[in-house]
Amino acid sequence: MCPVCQGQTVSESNSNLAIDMRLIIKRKLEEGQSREEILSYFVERYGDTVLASPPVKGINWILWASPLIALFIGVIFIHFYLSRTKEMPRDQASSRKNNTNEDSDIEYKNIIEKELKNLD
Amino acid sequence: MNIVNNFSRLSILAVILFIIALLGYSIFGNNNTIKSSPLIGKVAPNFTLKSFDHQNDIKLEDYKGKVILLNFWSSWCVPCKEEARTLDFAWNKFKDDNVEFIGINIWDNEFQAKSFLNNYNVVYKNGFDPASLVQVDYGVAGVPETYIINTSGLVVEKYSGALDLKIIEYFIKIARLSD
Repeated sequence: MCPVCQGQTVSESNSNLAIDMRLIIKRKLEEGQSREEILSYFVERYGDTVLASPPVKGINWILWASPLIALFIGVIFIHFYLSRTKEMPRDQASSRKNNTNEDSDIEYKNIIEKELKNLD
Repeated sequence: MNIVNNFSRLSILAVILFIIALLGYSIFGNNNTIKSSPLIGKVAPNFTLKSFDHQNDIKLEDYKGKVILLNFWSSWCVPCKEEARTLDFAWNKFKDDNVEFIGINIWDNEFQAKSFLNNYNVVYKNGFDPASLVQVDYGVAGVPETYIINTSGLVVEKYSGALDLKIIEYFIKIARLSD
């Protein structure tokens, strides 16, 4: 990755540093150096952040593990939420529904009575 | 039921706090201008520069045994202009004290660089690398960047941004202590 232009690779970036790095990569390839040797050269000078994929070591494991951890927590959350919904007894569920219906009936009756009074 | 509710809430809170912590680290964690460099503690990469006065090349190995302040700069860089007079002042203060200042001009053209040196009356050694290798060899990511090398040839510190006199004095002091 280009150390100057965040989020861009060395091949994508137009910064002066990226141009220099491409030149060095080209020279090293012409010298017969391997991909690993070239990457190692840049890591020794810029650190692991110069790599497009951070190596799985030290604190970097958080980057690799966090999507799985988030997925795991999400699955547990959904599981508990669905369990709670299933456990709710049917009579309680219908009783809650009936109460809601009664409330709206009362409100409807009040509106009708009010309209009738206005007609009088 | 309460335990389930509490667990759900705590889980969500934990995830949110974790994400905020990661974001905070990414934004603020590396904001120091005294930057960590993979080169610290290691032998400073050798180099040969073309001097702007077109006389002898500037070779790092010629200055082993001295504390070296290596400053990467460009003529178009505003903080480089800010620190130019400070560097000139510091050079006059330390030049007889087993200290060497070397300026390395990068990402620039010779005419602009020479104008800069004249405008700011820079008298310590300055050069450029026609092969554009030295800045990558040192892991330079911007300008100005300064590296302090002790008398044993090891990089002891890296600084990004305009230097002031106190920082220069501090770096020279720790370079001497690290020998």
